[in-house]
Amino acid sequence: MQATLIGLAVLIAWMFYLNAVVRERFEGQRFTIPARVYSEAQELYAGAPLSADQAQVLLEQLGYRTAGRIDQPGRYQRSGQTLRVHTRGFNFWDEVEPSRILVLDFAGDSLQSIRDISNNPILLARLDPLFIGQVYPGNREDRLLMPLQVMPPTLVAGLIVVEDRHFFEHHGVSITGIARALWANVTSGSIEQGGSTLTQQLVKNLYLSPDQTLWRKGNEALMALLMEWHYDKATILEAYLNEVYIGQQGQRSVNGFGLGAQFFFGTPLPALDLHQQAMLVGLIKGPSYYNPRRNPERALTRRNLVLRLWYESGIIEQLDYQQAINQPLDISTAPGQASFPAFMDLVRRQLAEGYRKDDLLAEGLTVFTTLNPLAQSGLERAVERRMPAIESAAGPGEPLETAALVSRPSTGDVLAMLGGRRPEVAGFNRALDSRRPVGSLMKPAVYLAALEQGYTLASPVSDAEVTVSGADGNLWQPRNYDKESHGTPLLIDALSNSYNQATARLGMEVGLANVFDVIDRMGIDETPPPVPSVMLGAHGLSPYQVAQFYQTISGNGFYTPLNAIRAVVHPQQGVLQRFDLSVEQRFDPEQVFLLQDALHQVTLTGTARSLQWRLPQNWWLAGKTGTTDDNRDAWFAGYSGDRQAVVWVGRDNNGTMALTGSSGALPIWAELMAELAPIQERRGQPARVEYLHVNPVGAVVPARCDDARSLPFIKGTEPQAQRRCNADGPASDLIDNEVEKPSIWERLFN
Amino acid sequence: MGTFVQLIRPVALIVSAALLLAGCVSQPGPSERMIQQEKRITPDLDSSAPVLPKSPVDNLRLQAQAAQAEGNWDRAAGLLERALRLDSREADLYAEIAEVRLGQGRFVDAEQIALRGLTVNSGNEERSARLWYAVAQARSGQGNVEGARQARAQACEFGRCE
Repeated sequence: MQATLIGLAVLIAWMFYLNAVVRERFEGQRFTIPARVYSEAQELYAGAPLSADQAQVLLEQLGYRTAGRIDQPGRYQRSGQTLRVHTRGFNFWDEVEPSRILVLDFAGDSLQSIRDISNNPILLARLDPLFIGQVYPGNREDRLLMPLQVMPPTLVAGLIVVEDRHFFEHHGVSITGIARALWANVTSGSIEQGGSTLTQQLVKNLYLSPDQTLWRKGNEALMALLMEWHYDKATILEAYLNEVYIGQQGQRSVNGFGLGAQFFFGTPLPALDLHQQAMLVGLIKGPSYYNPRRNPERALTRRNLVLRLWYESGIIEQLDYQQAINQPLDISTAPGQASFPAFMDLVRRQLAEGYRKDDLLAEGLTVFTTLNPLAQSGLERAVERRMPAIESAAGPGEPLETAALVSRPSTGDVLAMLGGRRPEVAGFNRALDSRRPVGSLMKPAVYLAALEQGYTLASPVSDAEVTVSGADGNLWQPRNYDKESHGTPLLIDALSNSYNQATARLGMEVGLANVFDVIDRMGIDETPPPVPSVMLGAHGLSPYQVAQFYQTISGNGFYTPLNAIRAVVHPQQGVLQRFDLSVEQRFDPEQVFLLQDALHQVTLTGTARSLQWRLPQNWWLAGKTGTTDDNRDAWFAGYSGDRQAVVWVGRDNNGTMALTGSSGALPIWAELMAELAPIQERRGQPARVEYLHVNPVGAVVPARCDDARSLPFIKGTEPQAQRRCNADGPASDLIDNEVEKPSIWERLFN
Repeated sequence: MGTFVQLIRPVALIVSAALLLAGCVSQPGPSERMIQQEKRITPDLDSSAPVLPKSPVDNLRLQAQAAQAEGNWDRAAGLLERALRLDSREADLYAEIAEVRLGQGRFVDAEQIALRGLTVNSGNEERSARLWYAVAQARSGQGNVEGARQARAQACEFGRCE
């Protein structure tokens, strides 16, 4: 009697403990869901710079499937230049994009028109974004939470029929189920059959180990009873549907029907067809054994068995049953997602500034990033295509490596990033962490400092040999790449031809302090050592820092911080953080206009003139090559329209290459730009800037002169006097007050 | 073996009850989403003067105006920034984002964005005036009287003298 009482007391205490366990997990955060990271979404509108091929590649990447009928979200058809897409819709941070059928007509490189199924034009739509993974890789459960009311009723009823047909009658445990299981276990001599109700399965998955022990089974039954006592059937069912383990992808475990539908069919759960629903329900018995991608025949048999049960239980009609069992498995070849380790590394670092790791692992946050799948795949392809030829031209040595970054000058969005030659490898992220001398990429800072000090693009600069004695007494004697001096070129030509001697002399004339001030304002987050050689790039920067530097040039003199994240959304609290457009004026926009013109000259006649044949001649491009001592680094940084890219090529062991910026990095840049085909329109000419014709010594001459060229000047800085065509010598000697008046045609067209 | 009716009844009950409740939960159901979307596509502007957007940028701009009219600054800014990513050459968008920042009292941001807008504008005096006017207001908001005066003079030069 006493023993019984003690036993009862222990049981009661134990029940209290279990009760606390059950409630704590169910009342609080029921599931730990790692933050999901998404790419930028593709905008669709008439005139969008998107070809039919690009759109199709993107749809495939997103896991859309080509199909005879597009009656389901996540399907598309292509005929020639027309794509019919049944979009999935998406809950963005700023807007809910509905699922709908879109008819997209393309011509060449752009989307011509976009209509709905009734042929009504649609102004703007966007595809769902690409899932690019979790912030922290690891063995994690992943799921897309779905409320019960959006789940297909046949799936819910069908699950009950297959897994626990007395779900609505029992109180957590099924006596008959246990008896049957016991009998089976006794007769077989081991514990094989569970006889578990859905509630028990849920309890086991949420709280207990998978061991098949009597102690565990006892706890499971008690907790199931407690759970049913506290919560109604709908709550338990919803939790089960979101909890259940359904598949595996590497270390990531796919849980819940919501994610399962996306993972196997590329279609949101509410839109699944019967045969697809039956496959998901069938998977619960053995996600690995019945994996439809690995074991399609086994999976098909299992699915049809489930369908038969549904038909026999009256969940589906005979006609539906017949149709469903005749369907193929209908599994997407790959889950619609991609992995970009280098970019994710940047996202992780940026998130770490504002979020705790625990929250990122558990809170179910959604992170909307700036990654543009087309830019990223364009960059990866450009490297893949161009690297073999560059490698063979580089000569013997350790294999070449590369790092690159594509950004949007107007906003600072990082659109694509490569941390190494093999994009799929998460390792040393050269785009962020390598520090390599930048060579001539630094020169624009010297020229911008000169423009700020009153120089013009037409100012003559001596390219004679130069010797600078440093503060430490050392002499610095930079030499031109071709070991020759080039007389007295105009400032614009000294930059476009990347003359070291002219640049060093100009920098010393302008003053080191002024040059360093410009470098600082460009937005590099560190201070280079104050030595003159930095002017020619004898200082290591990462491609990311270089991109930030050039953003200020492509951003018309405004510093725009590079940014990888657009918004962070909490499942209950909504938008936690938005990254607004942020700009800060650092330079006079007119002076930057002149610098941009000089960088354009680089691509016409300077060190990057090969762009004239590598890309369409009517494209407006601006950029700068960079090559370091003994050809250890090849760089190209440049922009066109609203796309900027920085490319570095070199060896990890810092070995030499038979390459320069224009032969090593520029081919990749050009290939990438050809792929991106940005909108080609140069920034408008500022009101304070005018174009004048000058001769080779920088004096203003009539436009008709043979060697006259048109250069932009800020009003008030232009050379005052105008001279005859054939005049030479210093401008001050030969001021011509009686130069011929321009003809009416010249006045009209100049 | 239970019949279908036995099985489906509780499920149907749950599902229908849940659908009834759907209006109260934060995540709208698909049909409701459609309706919300339709509402957004057709901005609630003055019905006597219907403005039909011609381009996606105009469409977003109209929606932003509607959001602004409701004091929903974040949404307005988000829509305008989305438009800017479609076409970064539109100086008007910078003016409008700057005006949103003014409305939010974010004067430093407003000034910078308006100045940035001036660098993409070429020749259009009305736009220049609008951007300089925004600069003037932003500077006033920061207490920069002299800077505001200069910006106002610029706006006036382009035809907006207030």
